[in-house]
Amino acid sequence: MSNPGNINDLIHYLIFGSLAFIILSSAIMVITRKEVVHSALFLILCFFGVAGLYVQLRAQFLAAVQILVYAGGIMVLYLFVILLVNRRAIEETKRSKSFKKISILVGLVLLLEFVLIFMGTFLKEGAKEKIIEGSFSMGSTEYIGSVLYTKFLFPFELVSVVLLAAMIGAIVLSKRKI
Amino acid sequence: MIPLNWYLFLSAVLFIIGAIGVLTRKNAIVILMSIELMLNSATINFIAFSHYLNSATGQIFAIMIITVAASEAAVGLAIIIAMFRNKNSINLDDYSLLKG
Repeated sequence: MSNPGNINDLIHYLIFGSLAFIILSSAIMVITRKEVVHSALFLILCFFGVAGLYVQLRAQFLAAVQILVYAGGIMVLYLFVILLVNRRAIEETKRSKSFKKISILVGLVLLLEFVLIFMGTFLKEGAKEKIIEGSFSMGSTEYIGSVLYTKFLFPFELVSVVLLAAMIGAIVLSKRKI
Repeated sequence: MIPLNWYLFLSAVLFIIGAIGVLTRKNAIVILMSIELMLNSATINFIAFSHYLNSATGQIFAIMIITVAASEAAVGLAIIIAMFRNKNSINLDDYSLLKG
């Protein structure tokens, strides 16, 4: 762990902790709500938390893109489709009781293993010395633009073909008569 | 400066929550939303590594991930609309034609 007396680090940890709490609690809410619209709204909250995490990681362009495209485009599409297909309440099937005990036991064993691995990663002190703090301009729009259109031109064009294919596919799949 | 393993474990836990959502829910739209959670956890991983290795490649790949997630959501939702037109239900228990 880094020097705990540093107030800057404490603020970093506080921001990370609150953002992680928002992300994980809203993700748990997404998978447990009975009403689909509530799940969609909690997913939007999760995306806002993830965007805050990106800002903390000096990727401000990605944070803006995440809010615009993910929370503002994809989730609006989800809400439209929920509007169209939410006819009646969907009953979640009940599982048998013996499955429940075994699954809780296996889940606890896995959780214990997970926690042990997490504690173990703090023991390796050598790996942390290689951490290079990213400069602020690396996540800026100018730098992303200058890299995206020169070094990563081929993936950029490929992704545009993917979008075209998805557009055609979505239109054909949702037509009544092809 | 937060060490890298915190971000990796956050993304791992988010992935697990998404996987539990895919495995337990019966509503097709909630399953698609859990897939979005898993995609987001992978994107957090990419951006964390891009920060800690001082390279913009992670952020560029995160843009690609968001683009592919958008196209996958569009096609998946079109499929759900077609399913709903056929059977008037998106409960995956009703789609058991292949069951023996």
